[in-house]
Amino acid sequence: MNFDTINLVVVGIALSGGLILLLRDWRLTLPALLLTYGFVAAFLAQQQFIRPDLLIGSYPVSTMVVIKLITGGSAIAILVVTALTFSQEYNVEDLDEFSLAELRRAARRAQQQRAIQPLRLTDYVVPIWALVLAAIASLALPRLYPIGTEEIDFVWYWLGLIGLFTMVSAADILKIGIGLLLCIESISLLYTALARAVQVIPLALLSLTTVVLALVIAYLSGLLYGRLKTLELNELYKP
Amino acid sequence: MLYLLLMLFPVTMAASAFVLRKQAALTVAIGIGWALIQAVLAAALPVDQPARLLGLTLNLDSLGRLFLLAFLVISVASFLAAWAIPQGENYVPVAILIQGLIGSTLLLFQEPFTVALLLISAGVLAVLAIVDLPIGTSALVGRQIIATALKYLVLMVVAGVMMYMAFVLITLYEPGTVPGRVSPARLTLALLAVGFGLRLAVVPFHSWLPDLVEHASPLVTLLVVAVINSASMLFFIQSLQFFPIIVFENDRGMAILMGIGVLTALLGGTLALAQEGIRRIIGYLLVYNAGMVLFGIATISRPQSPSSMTQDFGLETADD
Repeated sequence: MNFDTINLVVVGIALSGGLILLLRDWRLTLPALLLTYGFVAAFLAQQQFIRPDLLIGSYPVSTMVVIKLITGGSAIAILVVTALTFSQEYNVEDLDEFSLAELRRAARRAQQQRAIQPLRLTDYVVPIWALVLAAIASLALPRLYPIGTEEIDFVWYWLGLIGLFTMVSAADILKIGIGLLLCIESISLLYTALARAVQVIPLALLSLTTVVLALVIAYLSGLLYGRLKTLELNELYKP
Repeated sequence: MLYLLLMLFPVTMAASAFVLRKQAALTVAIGIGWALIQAVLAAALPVDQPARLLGLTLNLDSLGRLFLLAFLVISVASFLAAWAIPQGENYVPVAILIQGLIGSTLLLFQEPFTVALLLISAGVLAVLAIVDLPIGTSALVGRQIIATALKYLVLMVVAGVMMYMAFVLITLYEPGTVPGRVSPARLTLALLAVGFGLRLAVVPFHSWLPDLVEHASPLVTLLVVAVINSASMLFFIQSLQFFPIIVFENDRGMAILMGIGVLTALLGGTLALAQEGIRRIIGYLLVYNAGMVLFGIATISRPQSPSSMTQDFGLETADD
């Protein structure tokens, strides 16, 4: 990559993606995801892969950029509402005494877990090394397998790798969802930037997939929280 | 028009079934009625007469029709079973919607980007069926079921992403345009192998399938294995047929795939022997089966001697 002419939008994508990988709290990762969607939309507007057909202020943009922003905003809104409300309560009157006892036990355990959970720096070792690995791979892969321009290749490799590593290092279900959404964003950018003939249906399906994925993650998060009173994945595998 | 009807009819019927989901018998009747009408529509559709819609090419070949009708037979059988065995509240609407998506993939095989996304959507919908509980149940959703659903969701989305990347790469590739550049055919085959390997539960991506068979309802397993996985397998074969460059430039890659197929079959069979529960045994036997299928598909590499798979399905490579 030529560092003499640094593209600030690409830097923005890199930084917001890095924040998603490093941070654990949804109050920080979801705004970082929103920033990523914003920067990707700015990147699409800047590169003008599709002929602009709208004028926002004095800046010509394509309708697709607006659709991307709306899709990203919708996915974030779904996840934020989920994170704020979390629990999908069971109909307690339908449950037998064993299930009720299990719910009470899960609530107690989650409360104890929250009380004894200090900030541990060791939790950040894996994400930091994953970030380093993603950075090296995103800089090396465009040279080994050049597909588009260096900027395009860096951005889609970066989004895909950050998404993958976010899923691998995730401790809670919402972060897994964010990783999946980043992977979808990566292929969406790849298709928009490089496909010979960009068609409406694949683009529409990509947006639809993003929204449906956010909904399913929200549903699973609600289910998990309703069952275990926590979003932590390790609780799923405890006896 | 008939193509459009075949794709949109399941959506409307799924919506109706969803509205009436509290009345189990009525929902099942809607499901069976839908499957029969859909079969009539599929039978009425002319074979190999492509149509254009919103820039997409729609076509149903004889093999696609065979699979479509087989899937509808499976649907009827599963809905009849759902009449007797209590299923998740949303089983019928989700099953109709998944069948609709899979039917659309059979019509859209010439549009690999769209098919890859439709398969992701089918996987995402299957997650809803996996975690679904019957109406009025007094039990909680099991932890293992949530873990299985999450694992399935992640792996199917990753599989879809890999397949999508592979198709973008292969549609960009023009042999000989940039001398000296590494052919993307290898990377494409690698991405396709990972994508379809995840979908078909090939070693080392097989762990989701025994978990699914063990923890999910048998009818949901049937839907995933017999419908979604079979459609994925057919899509893999069609992809190799539409992009023969992947096969011709990857002799060694196809040999490796054959090896992975053998390994999967051996490991699946061996692990099946070591299991105690009948469900896990079936799960590993399905893994064994996936290995055999992959081995068959990988023998497509010799255009002069069409493989057992292509003969079985009446397919030929593009060179023949």
